[in-house]
Amino acid sequence: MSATDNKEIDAQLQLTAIELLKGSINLPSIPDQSFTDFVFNINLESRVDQMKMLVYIITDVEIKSADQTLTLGSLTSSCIFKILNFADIVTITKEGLVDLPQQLLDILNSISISTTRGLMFSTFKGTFLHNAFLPIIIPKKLSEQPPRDKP
Amino acid sequence: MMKINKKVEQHSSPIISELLNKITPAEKKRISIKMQLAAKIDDLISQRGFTKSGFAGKLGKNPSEISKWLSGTHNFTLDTLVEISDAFDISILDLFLSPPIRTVNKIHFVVISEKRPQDIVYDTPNISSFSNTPVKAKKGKYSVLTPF
Repeated sequence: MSATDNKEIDAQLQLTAIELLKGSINLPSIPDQSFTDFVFNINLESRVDQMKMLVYIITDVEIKSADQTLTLGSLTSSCIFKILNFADIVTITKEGLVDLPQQLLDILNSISISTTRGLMFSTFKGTFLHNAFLPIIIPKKLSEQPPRDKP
Repeated sequence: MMKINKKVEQHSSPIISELLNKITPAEKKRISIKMQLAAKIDDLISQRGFTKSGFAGKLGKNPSEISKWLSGTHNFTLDTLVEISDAFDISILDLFLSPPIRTVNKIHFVVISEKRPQDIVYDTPNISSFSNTPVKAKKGKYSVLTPF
């Protein structure tokens, strides 16, 4: 993280939409099987529409059994944010590439994960995945991880 | 282009609204396309690292002509658009396309939750004791986000 990333950013944000893109549940046909431990495979993708000053955070969660052999369910959501002061916050490079401040990305990722946690709870409540709610994730930890794919 | 959009969004007044209402939809569309084209050319000039006079020199034009193009009022001929797209080494159609929605970041991580109680435990204290009495906020600095 560069020195400029440590500066407090003053982003004027608006959550314009929450979309449930995909949801699935798969009860394995194993008798008397109860699930108390879960593994969550999470993918977060950020997309920017500079014309509309929008940032889309697509959160994809795959719920697996503790031994990771069974996929028990999945949910994909999209949180759409409008950055009202887009030109002040987001930098467009000479090559036309979008540079989103890490601090802002952490905030948006955090909101999206929390929103997805709520969507998961309301989608899976009353099912065998009732207790499979996402644990607390510290956004700072996310930015410390190297990205899997470079866009 | 973003700065132009921002300025357009911020400016509104009854006089402007009255004037805008007099413009026909077809005229509005023509103006919008002209403005977008001008903004696109302006973005391309800065993206490719040209100065306005440098770009004018590349096309063999006067810098004042480039300023007129960028004002958003110029009615471009097809020949001029071909010249411009050649100078940027892009297709003429690219001049009319919006920037694509770009993926700027991807993160993958795994979270494990263990020993979660299977029975639902309602641990929230007696809800009926909560009242609607407003609680005075403590003094401090609060950041206010635009409400949805």
